[in-house]
Amino acid sequence: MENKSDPFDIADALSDVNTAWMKDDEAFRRCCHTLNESLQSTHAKVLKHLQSFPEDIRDDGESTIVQWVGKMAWSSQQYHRAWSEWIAAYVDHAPDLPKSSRRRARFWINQIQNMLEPANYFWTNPKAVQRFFQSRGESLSQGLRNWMDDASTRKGLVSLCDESSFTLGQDLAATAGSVIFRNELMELIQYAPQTEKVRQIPIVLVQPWINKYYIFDLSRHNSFVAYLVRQGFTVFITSWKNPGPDLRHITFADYMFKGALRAAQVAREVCNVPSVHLAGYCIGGTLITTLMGWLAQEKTDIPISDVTLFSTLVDFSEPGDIGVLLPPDIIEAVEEQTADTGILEKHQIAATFRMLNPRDLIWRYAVNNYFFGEKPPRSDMLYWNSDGTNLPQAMCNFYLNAFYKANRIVHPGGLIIGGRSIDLGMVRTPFYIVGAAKDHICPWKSAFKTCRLMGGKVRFILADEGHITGIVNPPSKWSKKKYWAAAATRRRNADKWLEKQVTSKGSWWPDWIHWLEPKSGPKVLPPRAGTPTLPPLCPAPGTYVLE
Amino acid sequence: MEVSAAQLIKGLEELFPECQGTDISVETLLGEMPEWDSMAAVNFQTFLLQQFEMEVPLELLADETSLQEVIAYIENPESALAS
Repeated sequence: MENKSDPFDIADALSDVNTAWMKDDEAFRRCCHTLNESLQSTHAKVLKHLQSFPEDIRDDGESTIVQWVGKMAWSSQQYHRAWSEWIAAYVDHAPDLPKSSRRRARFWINQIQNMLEPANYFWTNPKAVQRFFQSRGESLSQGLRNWMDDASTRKGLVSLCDESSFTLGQDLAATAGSVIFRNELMELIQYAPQTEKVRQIPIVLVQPWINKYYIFDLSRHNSFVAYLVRQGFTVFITSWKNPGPDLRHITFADYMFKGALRAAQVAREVCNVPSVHLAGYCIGGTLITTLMGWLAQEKTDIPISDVTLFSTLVDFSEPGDIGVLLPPDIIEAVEEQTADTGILEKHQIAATFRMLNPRDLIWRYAVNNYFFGEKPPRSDMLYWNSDGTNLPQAMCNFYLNAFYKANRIVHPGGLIIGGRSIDLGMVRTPFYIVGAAKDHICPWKSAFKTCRLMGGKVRFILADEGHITGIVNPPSKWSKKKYWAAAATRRRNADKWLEKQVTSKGSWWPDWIHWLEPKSGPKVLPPRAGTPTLPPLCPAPGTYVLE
Repeated sequence: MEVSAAQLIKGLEELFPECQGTDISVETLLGEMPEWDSMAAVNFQTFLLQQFEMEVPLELLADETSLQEVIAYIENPESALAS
């Protein structure tokens, strides 16, 4: 592996920006002039603010010090903002800079800006100083204990959530159901019906295995599975094994055949129907799209009537900020590491995802937990966010190389898996694809690229939120959310598609139900949990989710 | 529950230090806050829970929601429907 001292190519990314500016002296001069003007304006603002500076800080003790810190913090914040705005423009407007270089530079500049935020430092955080005085130092003392706890039990990742405030099966993942199937990779949960009759065709949700399945079954008010069950669907969901080194051999194809395909077959057997609605979230969506490509060559017995993708990349040519964190050197380093350990550890994966939003997933909690000495808050979403899983070596290396590095699946025959070469154009099954406008992990325009790859009809939905909140998006009388939905079969240009759409208010979930309804058969009595040959093994949420 | 706008704005500035020096008022939309995104909304939700012991639904904390609407919800959830 070359250039190990800078495997993320940070220096190259920043150097590319400087080199780009060197090509246009006049533009560079104007850019520097803008900085000068901005700093002068900031100086003037800060001086005015400091005019009310306390004249004598010696007599007034703690409150004066807090006031002094407040003014320093405010001033530092103004300089930080001026520099941040300027340097963002410096990167954004660098002439003739390739898109990928600009993205890399912007990403790393953003990391630095977030790190240098004045509130992240004790003496420029007035609340931290105030707490210190009020608690007679206990806040920092407790903060040190919190830091030591994170260092020893979370491999240095700051705690995001009060982990004692939730119990799986009681507060989260609490929708009634049973585990009706288990193999080395997956538990399949069948949810108990909540309506007298159900639609004949069930929904099978294939979850990502980078976190736990219950993002779709958080609290009562925002549980996606509970919503679907109340709409009269029989719902199944995959709960994946959290692999240890003993499962290093598990491949992406295993997840396809022993996971998604097996789940669809079991659901079909339980409901006694020829096919099911198959839906996948994030990597779960990538998995089932690949599976559909594999099944397209099947002459008979395709157990899937339609497919839904939630925030899913299939075309990895523009994977967003996460692509910045996966240059070839890093993929090679992951291969070397997993060859030793057998797994990519959950802490490493979590650290990667937190870097996509450092302000909200690192620094805010570092300040809260270490400077204020507080416990992190109670939040179902953050609890789930902190509950990660490992990835097995074989699957991880295949996924990074075949999808992120080589983007093989977009080329007909480019990806060979399970003994077949995949051509997504052969897939005639209808697709319902949901992208989220502020998704850092799966940019919606990249999700949109799936529309042109598939051979069948596609309906695309753009939700206006992020990777999680765009999908976990329950209907609510208070909802201020919005979405855009329309056919997008073979469409190539996301912007042009969006231009013609009318904004709808609220959650897109009812739109999905409306799309599924005509494909769901008549209403029938609910099936029993499991079958005589696949009896319920234990109540939901099962055992794998606790690992 | 009566909510002081000043108390909410002060809390916001502590939660989002990058807001210091910007003009925040009850008319400010959440989407106008610097770097507002869906994770910021999750953090704002936990802040409101800690500060006012009220779980404001995430569906309400969208770009086009004003601080006044958040205050209205905390004071009386049903009244927020009319705003």
